[in-house]
Amino acid sequence: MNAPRIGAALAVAAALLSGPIAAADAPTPGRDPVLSALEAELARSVERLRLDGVERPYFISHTVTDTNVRRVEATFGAVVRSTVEKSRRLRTDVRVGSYDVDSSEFLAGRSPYERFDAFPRMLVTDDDEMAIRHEVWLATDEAYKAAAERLERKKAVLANRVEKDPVPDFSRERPFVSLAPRRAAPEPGEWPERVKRLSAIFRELPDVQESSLVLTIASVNRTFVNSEGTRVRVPSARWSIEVQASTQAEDGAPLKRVLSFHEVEPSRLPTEAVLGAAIRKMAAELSALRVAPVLESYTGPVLFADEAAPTLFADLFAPQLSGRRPPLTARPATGGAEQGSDLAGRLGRLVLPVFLGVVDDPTLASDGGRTLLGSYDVDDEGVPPGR
Amino acid sequence: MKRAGLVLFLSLPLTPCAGAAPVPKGPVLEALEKGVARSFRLLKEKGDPAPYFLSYHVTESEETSLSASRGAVRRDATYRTRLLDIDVRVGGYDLDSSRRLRGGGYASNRVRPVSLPLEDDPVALEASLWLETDRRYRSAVERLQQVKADVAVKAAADDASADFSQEAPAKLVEPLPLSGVLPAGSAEKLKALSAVFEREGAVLDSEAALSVKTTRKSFASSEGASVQHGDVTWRLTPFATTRADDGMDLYRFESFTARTPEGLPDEATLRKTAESMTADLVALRAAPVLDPYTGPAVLSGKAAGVFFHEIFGHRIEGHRQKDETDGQTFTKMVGQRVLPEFLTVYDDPTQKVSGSTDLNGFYLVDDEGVAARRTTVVDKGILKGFLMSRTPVAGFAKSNGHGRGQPGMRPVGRQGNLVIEAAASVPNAKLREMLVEECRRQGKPFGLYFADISGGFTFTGRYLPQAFKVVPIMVYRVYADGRPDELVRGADLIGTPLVAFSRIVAAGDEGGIINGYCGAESGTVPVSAVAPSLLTSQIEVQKKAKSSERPPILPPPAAEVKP
Repeated sequence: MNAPRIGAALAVAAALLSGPIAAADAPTPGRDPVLSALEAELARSVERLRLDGVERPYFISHTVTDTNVRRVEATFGAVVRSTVEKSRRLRTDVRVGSYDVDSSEFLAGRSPYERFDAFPRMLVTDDDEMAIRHEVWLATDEAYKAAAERLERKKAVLANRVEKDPVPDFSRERPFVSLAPRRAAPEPGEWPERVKRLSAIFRELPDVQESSLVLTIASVNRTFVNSEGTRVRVPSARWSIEVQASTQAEDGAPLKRVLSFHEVEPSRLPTEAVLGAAIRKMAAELSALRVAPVLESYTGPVLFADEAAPTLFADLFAPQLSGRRPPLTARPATGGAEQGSDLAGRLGRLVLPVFLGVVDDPTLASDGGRTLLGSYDVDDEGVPPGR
Repeated sequence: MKRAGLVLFLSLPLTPCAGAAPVPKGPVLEALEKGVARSFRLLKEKGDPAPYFLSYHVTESEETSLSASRGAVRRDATYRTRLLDIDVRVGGYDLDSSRRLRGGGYASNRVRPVSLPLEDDPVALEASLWLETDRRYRSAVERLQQVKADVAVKAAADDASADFSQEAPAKLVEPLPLSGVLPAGSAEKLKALSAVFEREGAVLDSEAALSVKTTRKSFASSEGASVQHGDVTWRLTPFATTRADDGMDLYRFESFTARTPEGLPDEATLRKTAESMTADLVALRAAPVLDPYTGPAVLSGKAAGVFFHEIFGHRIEGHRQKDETDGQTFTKMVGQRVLPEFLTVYDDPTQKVSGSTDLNGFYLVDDEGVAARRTTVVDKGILKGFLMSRTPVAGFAKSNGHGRGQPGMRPVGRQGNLVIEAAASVPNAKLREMLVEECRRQGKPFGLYFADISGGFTFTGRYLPQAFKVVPIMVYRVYADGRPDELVRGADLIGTPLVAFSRIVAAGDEGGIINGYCGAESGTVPVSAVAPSLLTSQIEVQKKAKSSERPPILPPPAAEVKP
């Protein structure tokens, strides 16, 4: 097992870093206390974090997600709830072992909550570098001890098991540096009032029993650093309007319709008039549904039109494509919930009709003028995506 | 079951001025009264079977909370909710749709609350009321069928009391409090306070939190109840943790409440508190671990308050006496001795203060619209009664105003201000001497003094042992040979209720007050307990579970940065 020491990787990183940071940081005066705090603790841990008699970590990463979410919910022309939530969460990944076999992807089967134990840690929301460092320090220490213990258990299980075709636990990636300036939370402007007015439309529609409009303005600054030298800071924003209305059919069956608009900036949201028309159309559909005949069980041809076709693919096919393999478990019986993909082992074989091809392209920002929310410049492990 | 005994909470109803003009009803109460009248009339006309009772209860909560850690803001959050609880009952007072199905396993008290518009818009309010009433009514009708079938099929219940008590409708309209607002500069003061913990390197996590919560309640029923009241609570809570070298997690937690921001301790006092908490942590890290022990002990007033709240208070909640899955420790003991003769216990939600301390469990009308009453549960050691909601139990047909619950939970009998009084007491110094004598008599080298307890829990169900555990924070060994007291760590106080109470031998003349939040099947409610310090001839402590983690490997970042 050759575990490369992270010290060497960090030297490479430092060389890569010197240029881009200064340039990208230009719009934000002064240093970014989040990035500085993460780098300072990363450097300290790489250099000195080690328990006696235990391997030192070969990889450390920190992700800090700064979120500001404003939500306004309105019903029948009145605001029901209005909140602003600010949070800063830290996720720390400490890996002991090597790229081939490390402390990840292992469930000891000791607790049913094991796989959820990586809850993010809530950090101070102030830009106080030392206060942030203090919590990063505690998180790193905890993660390292847990990783070291997990690797020992994992090795014990591996020693008794023959792996068919061993795949490394972690891929080697080139360090990536991209530091876009931090962005402040946007002002809501006229939108809360508009949403309130739009929700009043339902007062004129007696067929609708319950309805709500929710405006969500979320702005996020994500900072990612790892011991391989990757440094990423990505600002993003999401403006959403979600409309919900429900009623009951004559036979008592509950009926519900939802309508949602998601954009990355407010100027791209539909105008109030367009939204109003969409809401009225939705309510008309709901009224029509109330008296529509009930479809008895049916077998036969179906046309998936408009949003139904992408939904069909997204729900049924796409989950099979994600590259996650089931973690190693100490007791295989408990691994039932972590089933692998049905497509595993079918590489190079026919899985869809010959006239269909499927690609996933996170670099595509829009399609026919519509914003594609699944687009990103760098993924959550600090790796730039490819088509 | 109760959690975190020391989280303070304070209730403040604005006192109506004597002789002043009557307080006007707020728009919410107006809407509720109209809504109850309209819905009840409609369902009476059209519903089959018609409901016999309908109530609307609206709880409006507004809270701003701020917390800081190591000189930086950690949380700054504000929320505002207006939640509606509806109780619609079909059948009659004797047998109705609310009756628990027997043998149906775990029955949840959770009923989804309805979010009402925050604005006082009568159209929007009324629309929400009627829709939900209709839905609840339908499920109540269905439920009554099941109840009737259940009664017909199963063996007769031990307790044949009615399902709902008949009460005089409460009429109390008080002015609704204005929203509490954190004064300018709060964040700076909090940051400064939180920075006190930063000076001690052994402190791992630490925080100072400040919050102000405004609650406004409105209640209207088909019986004619009409209630409007509210309170404002200011709360300040410093908190710090450390870890001993053997991996034991240790913490200190203090809390202060007041009706006004001025009522909170001043900055100098708070700083001193934070400093002494830090000193306690340093002392606790170095303190020896207490091995499992049985022997005599003194509980400070605060510790005795938590002890009684957990172990006694939860067992005298009325609804438990009817629940056939409950352990029912005291159900058949009315009129019998359950405590030493010198102790009397009552619960009085109408008591606003004890000494100069505001009591958290204060309220005038409970969450079922019944006026709160002082209720003696134990008189000179003899069990007299229970804390009753409108769910009668055998021998107790009426509520005494203890029906409480958080929005979305069906109210049950709960504690308000539990007061333990001793008819005979000795000075606290004498209590200590008695502890030493008791040690000598039992041949024990030392007894224990429980200065502070954080909270605990108890099992009242029938399928688990009737055990309790309370978690002390500051415990001292008091030596029989006159050595100075010694702080110890790692002891949880355990036992079973009937044995524990039979061992209480004396009470001190100085007591303590616990203001906290209590969590049980009807949710979280503010409570208080007032108790004298107590000497017990035997308690049992077990070893506390400890994490196997060692203290952090690297020194804290602050220790490495040269100023």
